[in-house]
Amino acid sequence: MVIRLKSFAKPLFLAIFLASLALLLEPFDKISTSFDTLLSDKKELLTPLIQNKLFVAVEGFDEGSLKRIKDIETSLLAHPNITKLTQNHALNEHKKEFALYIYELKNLTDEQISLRAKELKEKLIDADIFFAIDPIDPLGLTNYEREDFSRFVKNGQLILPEYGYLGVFQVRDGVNYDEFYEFVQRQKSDIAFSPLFYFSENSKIIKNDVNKIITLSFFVMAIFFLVLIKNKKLLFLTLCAIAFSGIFALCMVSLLVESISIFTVVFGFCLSGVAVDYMFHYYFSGYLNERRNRPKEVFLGMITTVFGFFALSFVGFELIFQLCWFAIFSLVSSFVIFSTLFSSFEPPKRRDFKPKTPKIKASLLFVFTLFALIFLGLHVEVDLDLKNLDVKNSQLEIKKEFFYQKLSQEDEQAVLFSAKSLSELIAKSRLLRSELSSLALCDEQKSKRVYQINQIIKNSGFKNGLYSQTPCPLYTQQSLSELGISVQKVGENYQAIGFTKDTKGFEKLSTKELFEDELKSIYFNLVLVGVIFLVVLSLIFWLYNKKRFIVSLLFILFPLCVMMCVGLFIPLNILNIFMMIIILSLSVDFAFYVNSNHPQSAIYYSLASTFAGFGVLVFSSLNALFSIGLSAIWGIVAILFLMIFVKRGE
Amino acid sequence: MIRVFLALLLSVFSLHATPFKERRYINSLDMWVEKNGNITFGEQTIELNYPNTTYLISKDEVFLDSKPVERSVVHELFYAILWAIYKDDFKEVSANFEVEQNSLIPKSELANVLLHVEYEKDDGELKNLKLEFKNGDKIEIIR
Repeated sequence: MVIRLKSFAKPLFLAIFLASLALLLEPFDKISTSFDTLLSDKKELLTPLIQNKLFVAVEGFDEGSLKRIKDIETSLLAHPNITKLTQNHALNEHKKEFALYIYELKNLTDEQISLRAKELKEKLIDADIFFAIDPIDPLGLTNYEREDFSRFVKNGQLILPEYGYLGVFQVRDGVNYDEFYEFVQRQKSDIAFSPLFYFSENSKIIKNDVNKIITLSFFVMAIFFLVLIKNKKLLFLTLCAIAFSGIFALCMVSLLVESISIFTVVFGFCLSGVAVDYMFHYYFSGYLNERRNRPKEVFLGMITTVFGFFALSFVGFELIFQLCWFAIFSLVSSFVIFSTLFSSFEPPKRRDFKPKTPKIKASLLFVFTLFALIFLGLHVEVDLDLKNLDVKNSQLEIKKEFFYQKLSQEDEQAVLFSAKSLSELIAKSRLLRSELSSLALCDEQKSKRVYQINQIIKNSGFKNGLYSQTPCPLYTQQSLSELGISVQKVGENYQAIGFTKDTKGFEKLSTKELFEDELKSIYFNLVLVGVIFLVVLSLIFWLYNKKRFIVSLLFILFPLCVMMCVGLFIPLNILNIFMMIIILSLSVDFAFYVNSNHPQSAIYYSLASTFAGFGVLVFSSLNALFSIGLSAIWGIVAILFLMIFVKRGE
Repeated sequence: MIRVFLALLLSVFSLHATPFKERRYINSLDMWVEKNGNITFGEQTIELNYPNTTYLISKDEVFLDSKPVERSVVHELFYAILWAIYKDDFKEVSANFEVEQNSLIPKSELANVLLHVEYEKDDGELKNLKLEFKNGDKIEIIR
């Protein structure tokens, strides 16, 4: 067991190559803990919905509470990214100028309008104390209703009814979430909430969990390797090879995507349990010592697994795309490293074991599996809400509910509405709450009536008029943007965001809805890929070994059946389904191995290393990682069952 | 609410019933209107007497001819301004006004209604007070 000197040169060269690649591409800077980054094409739509607001409250209405909220306000405003929540002045002025075009005109006769104008004139002249007329609709000619906020104000300060004083602030874009979070926590308000807190808190929760899982996985793998690979140099080189392939895959994925989900990194770490299989097979078979005549099963196994990931990458979902390409790069590179750089390792003493257990006929299990699959297909539930995979931050949810309920903001949902022209879009906006509802709707008849109304008012003594006499405005995207209103042009259509209680007829706009839409669209793709995968594999099995076709097929169908059983207890999410296909593509490897003269110990060890890699994920408190772990564990148990209890001689 | 505000503004003239003359420019009518009245500045209240009506304003309540009237946000704010000018202590109003010599420049939301407030004092007593609103209305109060 002597390692030739030159065999150190290659790993060294590889290490330098990877270090330069990592420095050049900086893949670690692209790692993101935010779940929303996984939305592929619609995530920019959510940006205006991320309300950069901050709510702080102090309990009680006494002078002490008032002083406290004032002090907190002063401290908060000292932060460069926190400002007072202000109204849209440009839009308010616009409302004043075009009120008669914006709001619906009441059905009043010329005489009635004239009478109202004269009454107002007398009131203005006779009043002992000067009074201000309504700036938007002084004569009440439209359906405009002045909003009454007096319920939310006391002693010149905003209040939360039945609780205490309130402060509402705007947070500027580009704020550092963690620093902002810490800064607000230091202010010692009784309760504080900002949607931006989720970024900071959830990121911490995810990071803690991921650290826990990676540490656990590292220890399990380390113990596992220490026990199995007695050769210290081989152990060292194996660990290096796994680390190299992981970093290489991360670098390559960073070229393909804008930000890498932290889940991809964890998945990649656990995947090293699979990557190391190739080394096991060569090592235990003694092929690390000779390059020629290596068994084709290892290569076939690698190709089918990679093919599985490659096919899945086309499903059209960002996270799956990342996981697949990470896996492809990682597996191929580790296969290449193990089969080219590792040489001159004597195989260990054969410690083959064949458990003597009662065997089940493969055909019998095959029939049972088919029936079970039909039953499961009819009864298993699928959960399309990917947000369920995200962190459950219940403490922050409670705070959010507290503010939103007291400010009566909980009922409305964000929706997307679109039209072929801006005027059509403005007309549509009247059906919901949107900034576009404050824009003028022009038509010739209305312009004529507005002119008449202004003449009547002038004739009643208001020389300078009460309403603006500017003609109805024509809007462009530019003029709307100057009014602080965002309208997007998508193809031929204009799109804007509104809020409504009744979302019927509108496209709902929330992370949940977008994820669901996206998942519904890829669900078909996922099933299609699964079916094509099964057909192609069956064909490969048939061509590879016709005699053991049923046994080989069982290695796909039986683990699938067992993994689907999970769906009887909890609805299967997208990652469960994804992992099912992955385990199936791994299971195929085992179908090749058991049907060849491969050393049994290599097969059991590689199964155990896969178990060690993905199994630890069930200890994660994050549903996303737990789902991957759960499917993996049941899949591996099923494969193990097949290896121990099924007769292979049929 | 503006009524209340002006009533309060008048109160800065004196602690005792003091006669005043008010000139008002109503922009929409392009017309000047003149009014006369008396103001009494109490310890916690301000009383305004016009030929036909009487206003009584305290920190928390407003009465028109002894009947309570709804107290508004602007009322609270303006009440604070009047006491500030009267007592020469502008700490409370500094959140909404830039305080300059003999004038207050509204900031934040208030700047959308009121352009500026000017006052003149003689031996610590107010001689006159001028207000200009964004809609073109003006008020001049002369002792």
